Amino acid sequence: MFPHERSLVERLKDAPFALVGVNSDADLVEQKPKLKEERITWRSFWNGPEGTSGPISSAWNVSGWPTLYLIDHEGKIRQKYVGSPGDEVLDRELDLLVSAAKQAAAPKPVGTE
Amino acid sequence: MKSIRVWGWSVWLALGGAAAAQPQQPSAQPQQEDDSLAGVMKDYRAVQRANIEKQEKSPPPAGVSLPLVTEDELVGFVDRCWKIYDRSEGEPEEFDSLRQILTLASSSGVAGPKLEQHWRDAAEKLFSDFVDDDRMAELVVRTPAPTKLVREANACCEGVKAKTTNLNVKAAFAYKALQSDLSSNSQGALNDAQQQALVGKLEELGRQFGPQKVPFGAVTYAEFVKNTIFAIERLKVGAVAPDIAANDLDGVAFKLSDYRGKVVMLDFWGYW
Repeated sequence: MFPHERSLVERLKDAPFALVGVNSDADLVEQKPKLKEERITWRSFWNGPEGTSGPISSAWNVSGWPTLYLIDHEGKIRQKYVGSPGDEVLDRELDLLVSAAKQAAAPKPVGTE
Repeated sequence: MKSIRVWGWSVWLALGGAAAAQPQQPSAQPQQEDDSLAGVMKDYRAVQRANIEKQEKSPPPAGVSLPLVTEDELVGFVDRCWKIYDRSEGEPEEFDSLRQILTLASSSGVAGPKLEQHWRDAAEKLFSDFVDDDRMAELVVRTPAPTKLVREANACCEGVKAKTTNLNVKAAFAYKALQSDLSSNSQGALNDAQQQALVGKLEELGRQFGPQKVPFGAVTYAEFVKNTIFAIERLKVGAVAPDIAANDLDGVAFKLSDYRGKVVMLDFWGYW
């Protein structure tokens, strides 16, 4: 999963896009070095010392790992995947959402000055 | 390959380095058998690893898939579990060894008549002697069984359901009954009316078993019901994502809503 996530972050670095993780490792100290090794540059919430039973994944009722939510620029949930749906599907869905976000952010055509 | 190299090196050291000119042959070392359940499972995994290595070195012909552990090897481990069972009356291992036998006998693609018989013998004791044991709750939700014996496993569970007076076990059955609805829901396969019906059933589960613990998790049924209803109503496609406010891995607080205006891929992940 990580290689594709890295390439997503790289490919969409100038787009209105953010990868936000919810990390569910119980032991932060143990995994810090791995973050560097795997070049994980995106920000993650920490799910707390209870690991996969932590408060965020419980509130979001996460039952499988990874679980992915695609959220649009208005904060609405657009897709939910338990387990990765595959790189192609993710790329396609994200591109659609990103182009909608760009459109929404584009300045409205103004008339004469 | 790696482990072979390590072995060669340690033997070389043990024999006094280069001075030892004997051919290095792997001798069958008489090993002290760890006669705990953990020991059995450790040996089981070792055999599994050894067989994987063997198959990597000389792969089976195309189209043939060999089991990672053979039935006879599994029977050996099952026998060790029986020994533990025999000496642990009244101890936690009495239940655990039987459960381990069910699991070992259920290895997919391996179970033949011998393992099936062991499964039946263990199930017979387990599902009659422990109907009121808290640990039965997890077992009725997920009952390991060889493919051929799934029906028998269901019958065993039904027997427990009729007999048990344990609240955790009763709760587990109510929970199990909702599993197929819950999985349809998480796949987005329920319409609004069906979702409404599921919410009603969940509320009933919470009313009956609120303080009991959900199998395989740390939450109570009250929390589980609250979270699940929240998920059904607030985490569906089209709904505004609930906010998350927590610390990042460096202990700095941030919020999901900080990213409003951007597309967010929210990724629940971990290394474990």
